[in-house]
Amino acid sequence: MSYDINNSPILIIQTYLVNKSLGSLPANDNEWPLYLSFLPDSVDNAMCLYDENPQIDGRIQSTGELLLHFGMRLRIRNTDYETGWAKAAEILRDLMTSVRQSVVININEYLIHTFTTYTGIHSMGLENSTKRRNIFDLNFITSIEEV
Amino acid sequence: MYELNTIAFPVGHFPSGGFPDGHWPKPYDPSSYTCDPYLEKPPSYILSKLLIANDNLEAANVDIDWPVYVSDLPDLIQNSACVYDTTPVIEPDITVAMKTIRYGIQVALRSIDYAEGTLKGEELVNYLSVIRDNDVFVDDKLYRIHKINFFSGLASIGKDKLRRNLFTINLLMLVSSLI
Repeated sequence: MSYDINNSPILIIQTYLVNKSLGSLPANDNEWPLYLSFLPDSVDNAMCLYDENPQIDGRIQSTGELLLHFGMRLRIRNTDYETGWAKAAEILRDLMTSVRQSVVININEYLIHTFTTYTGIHSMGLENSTKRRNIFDLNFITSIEEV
Repeated sequence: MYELNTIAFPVGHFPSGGFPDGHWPKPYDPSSYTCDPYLEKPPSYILSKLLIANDNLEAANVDIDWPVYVSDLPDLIQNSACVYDTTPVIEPDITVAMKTIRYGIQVALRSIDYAEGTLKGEELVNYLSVIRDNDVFVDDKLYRIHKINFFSGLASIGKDKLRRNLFTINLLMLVSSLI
């Protein structure tokens, strides 16, 4: 578990969530597109992953291995409050019950050891625009290892 | 004492070398949650249904006094209420397999008359403070609100631009889905 991975953490988690049918690739034009780092205004019901501050939990002295958890935020936007909450709960349930999940991106294989959240679902209120879309955030950390 | 898998450990004690059966408990086993961390319905929505069922507030309607909305309070000229989800609190683990989540809730009141808003607010605080395992049906599913903890009592937060009086009640709520 270190910074030495070939893909960004949010791309790895996007691939994981798409594999689990919890989101879709934006290019496929399906329900619940999952964007990376930028959530366009044109789509009402959509999600976006952002990299957040990582948490460094120390270093194993004998091996020098860095114990690192990548920080992440999943933002969920929906026109209907209950639908948005239900989507957030569905993803939270999956993340909090998943351990040692394998993800392959091109020739790179990753092992997602676990997800941890300290806050659950955050209702962030309505968007600051006339569209009145509801925003929910899931903040979590995850440990990822390139296999 | 604290029980997990029928084996009791003192609070704060984590047995070295694993649990007696030789295995560490699986992390985040949902069946071990004392309260449902994955509610399919927003806690604010569940609480609003309970307040309607108890006749504290009315279902959202523009023609009556004290309708309750969820998450979005429209700019109506009448006494009204809105329930918002706020930051939840996940209690610290005693072991990795045991968690309790308390959902954050804000009940906001808006009244034309200050005294009337205060009365309604006190009525809500009085009711919420005696909740113990109250059941409520939400869209054919039964939820149980175990308990409510207040951050504070009824707080007056001034007036809005139309000089209507604003009040808030901030609380944490333990809730489970039963079916």
